[in-house]
Parts: sequence; C-alpha cells; structure tokens
Amino acid sequence: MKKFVKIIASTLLVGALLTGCASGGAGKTGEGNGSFEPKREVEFVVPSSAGGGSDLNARIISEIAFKEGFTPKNFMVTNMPGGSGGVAFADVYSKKGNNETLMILHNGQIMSTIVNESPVTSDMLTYLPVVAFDNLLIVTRADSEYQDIEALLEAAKTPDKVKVGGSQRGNTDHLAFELMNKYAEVEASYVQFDGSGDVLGALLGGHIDAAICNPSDTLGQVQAGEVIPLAVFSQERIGKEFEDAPTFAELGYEGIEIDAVRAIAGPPEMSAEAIAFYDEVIRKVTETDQWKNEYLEPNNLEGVYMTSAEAKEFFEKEIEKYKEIFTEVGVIK
Amino acid sequence: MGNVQLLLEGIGTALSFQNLIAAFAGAIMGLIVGAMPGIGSLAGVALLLPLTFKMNPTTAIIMLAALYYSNMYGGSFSAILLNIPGDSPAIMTSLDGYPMSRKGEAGKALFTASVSSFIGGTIGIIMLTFIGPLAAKWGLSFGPAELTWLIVLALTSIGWLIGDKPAAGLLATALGMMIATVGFDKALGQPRFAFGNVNLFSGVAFIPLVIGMFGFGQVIDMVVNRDNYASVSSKKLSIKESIVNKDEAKRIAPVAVRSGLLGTFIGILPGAGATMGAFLSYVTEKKIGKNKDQMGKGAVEGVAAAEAANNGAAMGAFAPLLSLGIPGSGTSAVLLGGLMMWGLQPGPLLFKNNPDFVWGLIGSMYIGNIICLIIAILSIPILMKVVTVPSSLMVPLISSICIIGTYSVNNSMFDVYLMIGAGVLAYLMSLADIPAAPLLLSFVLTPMLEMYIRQSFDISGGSLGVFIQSPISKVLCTLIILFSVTPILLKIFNKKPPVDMSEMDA
Repeated sequence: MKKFVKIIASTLLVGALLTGCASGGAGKTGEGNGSFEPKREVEFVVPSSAGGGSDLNARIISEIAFKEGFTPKNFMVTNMPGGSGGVAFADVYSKKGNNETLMILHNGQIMSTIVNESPVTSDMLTYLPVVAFDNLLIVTRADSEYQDIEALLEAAKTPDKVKVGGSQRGNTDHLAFELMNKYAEVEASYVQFDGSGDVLGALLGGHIDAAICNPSDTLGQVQAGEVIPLAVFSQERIGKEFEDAPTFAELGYEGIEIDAVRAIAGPPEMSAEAIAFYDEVIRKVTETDQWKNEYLEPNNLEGVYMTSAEAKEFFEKEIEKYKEIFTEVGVIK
Repeated sequence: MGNVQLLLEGIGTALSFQNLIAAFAGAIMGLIVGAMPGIGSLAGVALLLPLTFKMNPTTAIIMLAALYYSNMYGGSFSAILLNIPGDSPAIMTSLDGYPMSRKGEAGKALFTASVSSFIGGTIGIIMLTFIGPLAAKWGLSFGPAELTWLIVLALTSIGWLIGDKPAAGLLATALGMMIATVGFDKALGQPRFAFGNVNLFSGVAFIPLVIGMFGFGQVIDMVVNRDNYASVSSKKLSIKESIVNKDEAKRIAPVAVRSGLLGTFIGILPGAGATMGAFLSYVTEKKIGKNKDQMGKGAVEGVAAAEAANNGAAMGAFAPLLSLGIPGSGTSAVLLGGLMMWGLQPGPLLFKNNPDFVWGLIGSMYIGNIICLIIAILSIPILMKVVTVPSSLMVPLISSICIIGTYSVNNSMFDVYLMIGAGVLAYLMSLADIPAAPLLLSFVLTPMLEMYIRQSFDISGGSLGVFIQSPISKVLCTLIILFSVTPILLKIFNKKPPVDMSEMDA
C-alpha cells in the first residue's frame, strides 16, 4: 500500500512538470497580423524514406530557401515513411492550424490515400504550390533474362511469373504497373516496398524481375551499366542515359502513360498569410539557377510553378482522373 | 594492393586541417546527440545535413559520418549511467551497463563501452576498406525472405536472453509486437487499433516508449525503493578503478572482436542495422560466452558485445551506400540524400568517379574513431560524477529529462502521456520480473518483419516455398529450429535435479 502511494506521488510530481509543458505548447501558433513569417524552424515532412525523389525534392527546396535567405527560419526535413504516405498525411493533419509545417505532396500519395481509403486524404490538407513533373520508367538489371520490354511483356503473359517492384501501394508506381498490366494485357505481380532505394536493392539482389521508379532514383546504376531502362511511362522519350528506352505508345500500347507530380502541402486551416508567404518562397526557389541546374536538369524533371490556388484546382481535376483509372483497372472497387 | 595506396591517399585527405576539424566537430556532436535520450543518429544527421551544403562534399561527409559513428559511443553513456538508452542500438548496452553502474562500476562500464566501441568500429572500417563493395553485393542476396528469417531469429532468441525465465521474455516480446501493430498498416494504409485517435494513426512512437520504459520506469523504482539507491551515491569512486585490469581486458577482447565482426556483417545487410547487430551479438555471447551466467547482471562482456556490435554495424552500413548507392539503414539513407545534394551521383561508379571522396571518407573513419575513443575516455571522469548525484536530485532531474526529451521530438503532449504510461507499465512489469528490453526490441523489429513477410508473399504469389528457396534461408531456418528446440531438449535432459528439489520441498 505504501508503495502504491509512492507511485502516485511520483506520478503527481511529473504532473507538475507537465502543466508547464502543456501551457507552453498551447497558443504558440502565431496569429497572422498582416504578414507572416515563421517563428521557429519549419518542419518539412517527407512521406517516404530518405534518399528517394520526394526526399531530394524537400532537401533541395530547403537548401535553396535557406541559402538564398528566402525564409528567416530553416526548413527541417523529417522523413515519415509508411502507410503509403498515410502516416505522414495523418501526422500533418493532426497539426491543424500550424503554420510551421510543410509536407512534400506527390500525386502518388494522393492516389494511395484514396485507394487505401485512408482517414486523411489530400483534400483535407492545404494545397501549396506544384513545383515539377517527373517521369516514370521500368528498369531491370543488366544480367536479367528480359533484355527489352517486349521480352518482359511476353513472359508476363504467364500469370505471376514476372515480379515488378515499386514503392508503396496505390502510388504512381502502382498505377503505372496497373496500366501496363491492363493495356499490355499481361499478368505481372506487384511487390510493394517502402522506398525506391529498397526497390533497387531487391532488383540488384535478384529478388524481383523489374522495378518501376523515377529516373533520378536509378541514374547512378544506369551509368554504371548495372541497370537497364526498359520503357518509359511518359509521352515522349526522356533524354541522355535513358534515351534508348521507348515509350509504350511507340510499342503500340495505348493508354500506358502517367507522370508524377511534385508539389507541397500544409496542415489544414493554415492561415492565408502563411499560404501567401510559402507561395512566395517557393516561387523564388523555382526561379533560381540552382533549382534549374542542380535539381530539374540532372533529375530529368520538367519545371512548373502553380500557386496554391492553382494547385488546388489542378489536383481536384487530377483526383477525378486517378479515381477513374483505378476504378477502371479494378484497384478501387 | 590498390586499395592500400588509395587508403593512404585517403588518410592524407582526411588529415588536412579542415577535415580534421570536421571529424572532431562531428565526433563531439555525435557524442552529445547520442547521449541525449530522444535524439538518435538519424535525427542528428538530418539536423546537421542542411548546414553542410556549403562545404565541400568530402569535408561534409566526414563530419556527418563522424556524427553517425560517434553517436554509437554516446548512446552508451546514458544507457549506463541513467538506464536510458540514448538510441535504440544502446538498449542492449543498458542491460549490463546499468547494473554495473549500480554496483559502483560506472567508470569501468563506460571504459569498456568506449574501448569495445573502438574495437568494433575499427573492425568495421577494416572490412569496409578491403571487402566493402564485395560484401555489399553479397548483402543484396538477402531478399525479403532471408530478412524475414533474420528477424525471426532475433525474436526467437529473446528466449535465451532471459535464460531463467523464457516465458517472461516471450511475454514481453509478444507485448512489443502488439504495440507495434498500432497505427497504419504498412501495406494497405489502414489504421489498426487506433480507436479513431489521430495521434495513434501513425502508431506508437519509439522515443516515448523507450524513454518511458527505461527512464521513467527507473524514476518510479527510485521513488518506491529509495533505500536501494542511497548506498551507491555514498560510495567513493576513483578514476583509477575505471580502467579495466588485465583479467577484464582478456575477457573483453574476444567478445569485442566477435561482436564487431557480426555487427559489421549485420550492418552491411539491407535494412537490418545497428539495433539488430547489437541484439544478435549480445545473445550470441549470452549463448557461447565464457561468462554467460553473469550477463544481464552487470558483466563487462554484455557491454562489450553490444557496443562493439553497434559500432561495427554503423560502419558496415557504409558499404552498400558507397559501393551500390543503396542505403543500409535509416541514417545512411539520409546520407544518400546528402550525396545528391552535394552534387555527387551515388551508385556503383562512385568509387571510380569520386575516389577522393570515398577514400577520404574511409581514411577519416580510422582517424575519427581514434578521436571518438579519446574524447569518450576523457569524458569518463566527468560522466562518473552523475552517479554521485543523490537520488533526491536524480529523481526530478531524470523526470525532467524524460519529459523534455519526449516533448521536444514532436512537440506533442500525447507523446508525453504515452511516455508516462510506458513508465508505469515498465514498473509493473518489473514487479512481475518481466524484462522491458525484449518488448522494445520486438517493437522495433515487428514492422520490418511484417513488411518482409508481405513482400515475400508478393514475390511467391502466396506460396510458402519462398521461405526455403535460397541456401541462406535454409541455413537461417535450420538455426532457428535448432535454437528453439535445444533449450527444450536440454531442459528435458536436465530435468531430474529440479524435480528432486521440488519433491524435497513438498
């Protein structure tokens, strides 16, 4: 009994300390009086593991914004993988009204939260600018038995024979895969990984037959000749190292076409002043030479800039499109 | 050997003034970050990364790498002194480190941890230097099925970890697995056991759990069993005593070498990491070590095994990163992002295209590891003073550290409540002699296990055959069966004496 009292006592002691923290925690989200500036380091959430395309995107934005003095406070990148983006979505959603949280928004995550019927979907968050369009491609390792896309598709006619890896479920990778299955009339199977680094590891280790990823994920391996690009999911061929990979349209397959969209989002109820502030910072970032030369160019990306308002309109239309495609290929039932 | 010449050039690069300063700064920051509960190497490297963008890539990676591996040294400090592992790889260190500290051997524990860290780290660097790219390639042959077995091996071996009471260990393991399933299902993105609570959608966070179970659970114990804690503080501690004697050095050396090798090997594998390295090395020692009975009660071997292994693993994680452009751990994934930011192209050509960078980094690791050892040993006298703080001060102090450490990670009060709940749970568990370490380890490993099982089935199309397809799987599977059946068989054969005893009692 005495012990029990002591346990209570020690818990109470901590309670006293807690009250301090709790009162410190409340009311720290500054009210906008005219113009907004972040008062502390801005948390920049990346909904996938470090080293992938979204991660790189977040890191280059924070680097430029900080280096060029576009923001008084640094953007700190936090990786929050899992749940096909759902984990990060839920986290950002829980920070309602917080003006110092940003998140990389990739159309793949928008899709997966819809497909997975996650409790938090992108329309519950605040849309911030769209910054780039990215390409998708399917690759294999150099010593693979499928040296071109036709060989792979031929083998994939046997159900579950060809294993194709991609990051997360219901993502752009997955959608690209489903489009390929449907319109090339094959039955490959999809193996889901947490990030593109893991997919490539599994490909090189011989555990899967092909991988769907972005050009920047695999440039190093392609240069070394260890990975060969088989085909691209874009409208046109992408340049340089990936020049040899045909589009699916060239091969006579219609409808196997998808781009990745890279944008930014914030927590729900972000103040109008904060939205204007980030619109401005991101616009400035996308106008720098460093953005063009060190991000867009080496990663084979197409630069765009849409304000938060334009992004909202854009994504609302896109979401309708994704729903249609996923329903068509049977991922949404 | 071309490697030796390149290495010497690399050491030359690393010895330049700015690179030495970078290694030194990284080492100091790593020790501090490692010692602070709540911030691990992942957060430390991620926090520092943006500040390195203006540096030249070699200097930048030298600093970040130093932060990464010295973090493993620092993690042992709070594990030994306060029973709060600074980071998940230090969980195993606290198992013997803290009991040593309670016996008045805090200095000795810290010294053992530092020296073993150095030995493990050095083994890791040597392996990285000579067989790095080769080992990394081989590491890729561990696919989802093989990694599934590796984790199952770790989870089943918890039974040996708590030798006298396997049931309690298994219970804790199961509890950890259950807690780990809270939150989003990795594969389908559906929330599980979240009860509509947004805070639980992303699952139970590791930091509040570890700080609560070790740190705050400790506070409760300190308040309840006040008399036990008074004795330690009154003991005089001398620095001389902290240096291990010849006999102990003989005990530590083979353990550190074995664990360093095993740790490095685990570090090279994709997705395994330092926590699993420390864990598997500890259980290996617990099984085959000369002093296995004392392990868990404050034996230098326990500290040596855990620390040598987690340092080895930290070094091993660099092999796939540098030679393949594929991250072997969360922290090295951040470094991969760093490579791109510095304008390097990670991938198989990195060794060829940027030899100054790669060999400068490897060279700096030899030097950085020595720097870490020196700083760690020099800080022992200061650290030891922590033990002499009377518990009347320690209780509010540790409580504050626990709360601030938890709160600062996500600025979330929910996490703080979770931390306190975990502390109470840990205390109740300790009353029932249920260890907390297996719970935390299975909590860390379960999400990975789930993902690998799922991927294996994706690959096999639902057939179980995938789990015994490769030779590696077969070996691991055999080991698991062997390890789980042996204790039972041994018990049957040794049954007689205890039976007699109980009859006598009756």
